[in-house]
Amino acid sequence: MTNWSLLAPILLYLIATLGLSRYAASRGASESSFERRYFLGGQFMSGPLLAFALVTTYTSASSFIGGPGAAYNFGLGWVLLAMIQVPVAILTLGVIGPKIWRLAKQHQAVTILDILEQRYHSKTLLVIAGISLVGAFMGMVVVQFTGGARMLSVMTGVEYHWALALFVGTVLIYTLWGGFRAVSYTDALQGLVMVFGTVALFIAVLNYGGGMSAITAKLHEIDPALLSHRGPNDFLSWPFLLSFWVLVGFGTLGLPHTALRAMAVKDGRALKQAMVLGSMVSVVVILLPHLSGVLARAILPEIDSPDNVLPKLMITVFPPLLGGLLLAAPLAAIMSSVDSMLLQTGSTLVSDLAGRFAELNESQQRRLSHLTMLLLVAGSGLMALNPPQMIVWLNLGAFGVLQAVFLWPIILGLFWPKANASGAISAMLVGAGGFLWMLNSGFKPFGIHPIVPALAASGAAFVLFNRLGKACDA
Amino acid sequence: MHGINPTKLALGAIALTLGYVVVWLAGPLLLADAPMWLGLPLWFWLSCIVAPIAFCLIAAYWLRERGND
Repeated sequence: MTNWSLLAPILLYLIATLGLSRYAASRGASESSFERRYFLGGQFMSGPLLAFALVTTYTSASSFIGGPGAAYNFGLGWVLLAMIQVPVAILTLGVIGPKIWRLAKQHQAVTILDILEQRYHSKTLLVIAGISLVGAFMGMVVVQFTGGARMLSVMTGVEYHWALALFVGTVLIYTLWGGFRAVSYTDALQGLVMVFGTVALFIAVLNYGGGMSAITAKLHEIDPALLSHRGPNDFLSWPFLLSFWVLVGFGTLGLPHTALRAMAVKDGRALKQAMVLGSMVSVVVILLPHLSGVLARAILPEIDSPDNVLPKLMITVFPPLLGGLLLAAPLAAIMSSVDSMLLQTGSTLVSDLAGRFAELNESQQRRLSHLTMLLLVAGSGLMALNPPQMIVWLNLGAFGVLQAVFLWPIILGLFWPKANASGAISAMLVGAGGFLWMLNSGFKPFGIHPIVPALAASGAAFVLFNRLGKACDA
Repeated sequence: MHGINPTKLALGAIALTLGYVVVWLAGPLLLADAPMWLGLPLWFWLSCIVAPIAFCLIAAYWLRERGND
């Protein structure tokens, strides 16, 4: 049965998101082309806006649903692992930000693929990058839709397919309405909701459980390993933990949807502000949900699906209306990732692939963009009708493919003047192929995550095959 | 981008992150068997609370308005 005291505040939040996106879209610059206006929005982002948009795009269903679920199972060791993600803003904006920004300004680039094309001048590279990006983002979008709809359904009693339709419909409408600019403003709102929601939840959990010492004493009774960095059954081994420094630490430099944010920053001052503020926001939205997930084991010791731990906690420790309002925080985390992925998938298909092989006028671009977005959302929504159980693993798989394809071509393309298309294409093929093979076969040398050997092989292939190719203009 | 040296900023960001890695590692390596404090293990305080707060403070000092280069 539908629980309206929980559903009503969520519906209000979704309506507020639509209202903000409409306002942001109406403020959009009209002098630039549709493609630049819709997919990038110009170089308009202030420091705080960029900080929130970057962090909310990066943190997703995995950070608010899958991550706390894993923390519930594996204890404080999983929080240690999650904290690897704190430097994402410093790394993304500090290492590649200024160079990507300059290239975007010089060449009127709209997407990461535009940047790669300007750097490598290769259609083959563009097609490989485009297919990988669309495939990985489709997988990640399905995971996000599943997480959002499952949470809405379990918490409010709405049937799963209706929850999916509500969630998917909202994201589709505001992404279609306003493009990148609307998505950036709604991401900032969602970032504020996430910060407020996670702080409030953490305080309420401590209060409900009788304080940190009382809660961790209960955890010690359940299993002392929950308070160890190794987790139950020594699951979190050192090779596993250190692999994550590649997967969700340094490897995030190769994520196109976060790198894209650096292209839209207003100036150097805003970039520096975003590096600092983004790191602070990351600490809050990574530490508190994961730690709350661990503490929940003492408050809700029996739970059907660990992925639902945070929403269940919200309606346990808060009265229904407030619990419903705070459920907006994980929903915000999901929506803010999915909108950016959809937009970038759309821009890849329309601007990078279709636009390279056929001349499109502004009206055709607009219609094709909207149609593509509609088909992407419909396709992902249909796939989400049959949802997977532990979404954190699926998300990490798609995440790995993106890094394996994009990390070295982006980094070496920006910092190595001799980098050329032969090297970049080889790195993409070896990285993605190796990662998928290791993931499917379960091959884990010395217990490390497949992303580590995949990126090592990808980097080696880049350097090796670079010798065979011609130098490109830097 | 005025006031920004891309190479210097990139090297600074990597150095700061590596410093964070070291403090993050120090918790479980040096304090795994240390007692609890205020309900949490000491390794957790160092790796998951002190390290990220210090990371943000150092970043704020390094990137303060008068510039980093």
